[in-house]
Formats: sequence, C-alpha cells, structure tokens
Amino acid sequence: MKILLRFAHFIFLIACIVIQLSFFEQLKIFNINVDIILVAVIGIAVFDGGIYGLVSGFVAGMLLDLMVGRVVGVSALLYSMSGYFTGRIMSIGFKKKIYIFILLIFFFTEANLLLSTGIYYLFSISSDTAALGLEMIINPICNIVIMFLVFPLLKAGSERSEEIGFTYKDQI
Amino acid sequence: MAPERKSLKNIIILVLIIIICITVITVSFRQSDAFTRFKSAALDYFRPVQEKTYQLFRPVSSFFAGIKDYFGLRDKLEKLRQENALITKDYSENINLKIENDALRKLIGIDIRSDYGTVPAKVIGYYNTKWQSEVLINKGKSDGVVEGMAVVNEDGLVGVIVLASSESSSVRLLSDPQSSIGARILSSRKLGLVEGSTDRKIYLNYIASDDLVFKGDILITSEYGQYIPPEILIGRIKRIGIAEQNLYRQIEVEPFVDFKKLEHVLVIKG
Repeated sequence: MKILLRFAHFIFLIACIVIQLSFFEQLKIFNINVDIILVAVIGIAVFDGGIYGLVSGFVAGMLLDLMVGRVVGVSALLYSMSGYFTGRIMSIGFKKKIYIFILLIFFFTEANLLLSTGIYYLFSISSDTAALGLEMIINPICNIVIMFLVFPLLKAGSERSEEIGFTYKDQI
Repeated sequence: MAPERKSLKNIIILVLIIIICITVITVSFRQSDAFTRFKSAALDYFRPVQEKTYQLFRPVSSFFAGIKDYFGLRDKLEKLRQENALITKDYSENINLKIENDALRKLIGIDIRSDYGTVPAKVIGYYNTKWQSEVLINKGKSDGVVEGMAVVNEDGLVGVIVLASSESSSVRLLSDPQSSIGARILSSRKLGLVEGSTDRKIYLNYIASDDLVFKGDILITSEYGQYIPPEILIGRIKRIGIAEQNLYRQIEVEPFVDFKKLEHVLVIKG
C-alpha cells in the first residue's frame, strides 16, 4: 500500500510538471516565479524520505529538461540534490512543522537559483545578476505560498496511510 | 537493513545520479542534437494532456494579464488613436503604391510576391526562464513543420521553430537569449540582428554608431533568412543607447507581439 501511495505522489509530480508548463510559466511575465516541481520534490522527500525525493527529483527534472530544457540534465541535477538533502535534513530529527517546511523551501529555492546560475556560467551562458537578486527575493516567497497548497495534498495521503495502520504494519 | 548500510546505499545512488546528470549536461551542451529523439518523444507523449491543461488554465492566466493591462489602458488607447490616424492616412497611399508596384513588376518581368503557405497552430505550453523563452505548439512534423520555420501571429513575428516532433513543436521566442533574427529598419533599410538577452529585453544589434536611427522606427525581417520570409513585422525601436567609443549602437526593440497573450499562431512553411 505504501508503494501505491508513492506511486500516487509520483503521478502528482508529473501533474506538477504539466501545470508548471501550462500555467505557472506564464505568470513569470508578471514576476510571479513559482517552481511547483521543486516544492513537490521537497514535499515528497519530507513525507516519503530522501531517496524517494532523490529519484523523484531526477525523473521530474529529466522530463522537464527533455520537454523544454536548453541543456538537458541541469534541472535533473538540481531537483535530485534538493530531494536527497531535504531527506537528509529531515532524518537528522527535525519535526514536520510548518516553520521547518518554510525554511526548507526557502533554503533550497535559493540554493537552486545560485547553483543553476553557477552551472550555466560554467557553460558560458551568462545571466543578468540584477535579475538574480530580484529572483532571490521573489522566488522563495512564491514557492512558500504554493507550498501551502502542495504539502497538504502530499501529507493527506501520508496521514491517511498512518490512520488506517499501514505505517504500523510496516513497522512489524 | 542496518541504518549505516541504508545510508551508504543512498549515498551511492546520489553519486550515481550526479554522475549521470553531469555526463548528460556535458553531452547535451557539446552536442545539442544528441537528445533530439528523446526530446521529441517527451513532447509528443505529453502533448494531449499538456494541450488540455493549457486550455484549462488559459482563463486564469488571461485574468492576470488583464489586471496588468488595465493600469496602462488609458495611455495605450491614446497611443492607438494616434497610430490609427496615421495608418488611415497611409492606407490609401499604400494601396495606390501596391497597384503601381505590381504593374511595374509585370512590366519588367519580376514575379509578383505570392503569399506563403501556413499551418495554424495552438499554443499548449510556455517556458520562460532567464536562459530561455519558448512556447510549445500543437503542430509538428506530421503537419509539415520543420526546424527553422518562422512562427507569426496577427501582430508579427513570434519566433522560430527549434524542435519539431511528430505532433508538436518548440518555438524559440524573439526574447530568448539565443534568438537571433536578421532584420531591416523599414525607413532606412539598414540591416541588423534582432537578438534576445538574459534581461528579457530584445535588442537590435550591429547597427553602426554613425547610422541614423530614430525612436519608433519599425523593424521587419530581412530577405536573407533561410526559412523566415522577408517583411514580417518584428517591432519598433523603443530606446537608443548612447554609443560613445562603441562601433555599434545599443538599440532596444519593443516587439509587436505580446508574448504573454499568445494563443493561436501560424507557422510559415516558406
């Protein structure tokens, strides 16, 4: 049953890619920079564990890169690392509290922005540093707002499995 | 499984994924067509759901676009009124010139320019980052669309097809940092390149600093593009930078096409 839940999370992640390309990318014109895929990957890592975050991030990033990416593999690398390290941070013993989630989203959004700029810079694709400063302020806020929509959906499935005893069964 | 072994297994998977990603990034950067087949497959596979979702969210994104437009409405109306007055005045003059031009062409044996074949398409996706600005359309190779073809709408040039899969295609917008289109200034007939940039603005490059350029000059596509037909409207000159000690002027262009409102486009088959 846990596998079914993770499969549902994976389907949710694929839906996030479609929604990102159909809707959120258009809002970027108004400086609303939402990365729902990153938020979903972090959510999966929080509720399912780091390794699932890592694999989901890799698959989602690779799909996104294949669909629209200029350099294939950049999103896959960034999302998979975000997923893995979210899982590692949570496994240290942080509780699943809203302020922890906010900090995670904030940290990984900033890290992704800096890393992607660095990677593109390494490949001689320069970017506007003034725009980067603005993005470092706007993007985390937008992602934190969307987190309040994504995390409850991911959490709902996880809590339901605990309610009906699957977690208990797994422990046996 | 013991926690140490599980942790080691996770680290191995992480390292493996990082190595795969770095390899893919390097190959993709060095040989941009290495993943074309996979990219085409991904586009085709997601096309039906992408098309439906885009239509579903279209009213919401239009609503946001409407809010932004509302604030500049009064200025825009005044500008359009002035433009309309000028266009009406020029219209009858142009009709007469066209008739005269066609008659002269016939007289000296040059073919009268025919209209190009087009493929109507719907926009089904959008991707806009600092490094790229692209839209996805629902027509591909099966409809005769190939890489390099120009994409237009009723306002002018939208961009160029960069990847055509069998059922859908990626269009690189004019604002994309890698976009580079041969252009001509309508009034002076000077040639330049219209290029996107990472600050999401569009510039007309390679216009010599001693060339006369005026704010408001209209840009059209040049006749030297392989697939892009000449005389398609691109935009108008918005700002001319000071070019002290520079060989070329820095000219900012305001495109005629509103990229945030793209819905229906035409692919010019050339």
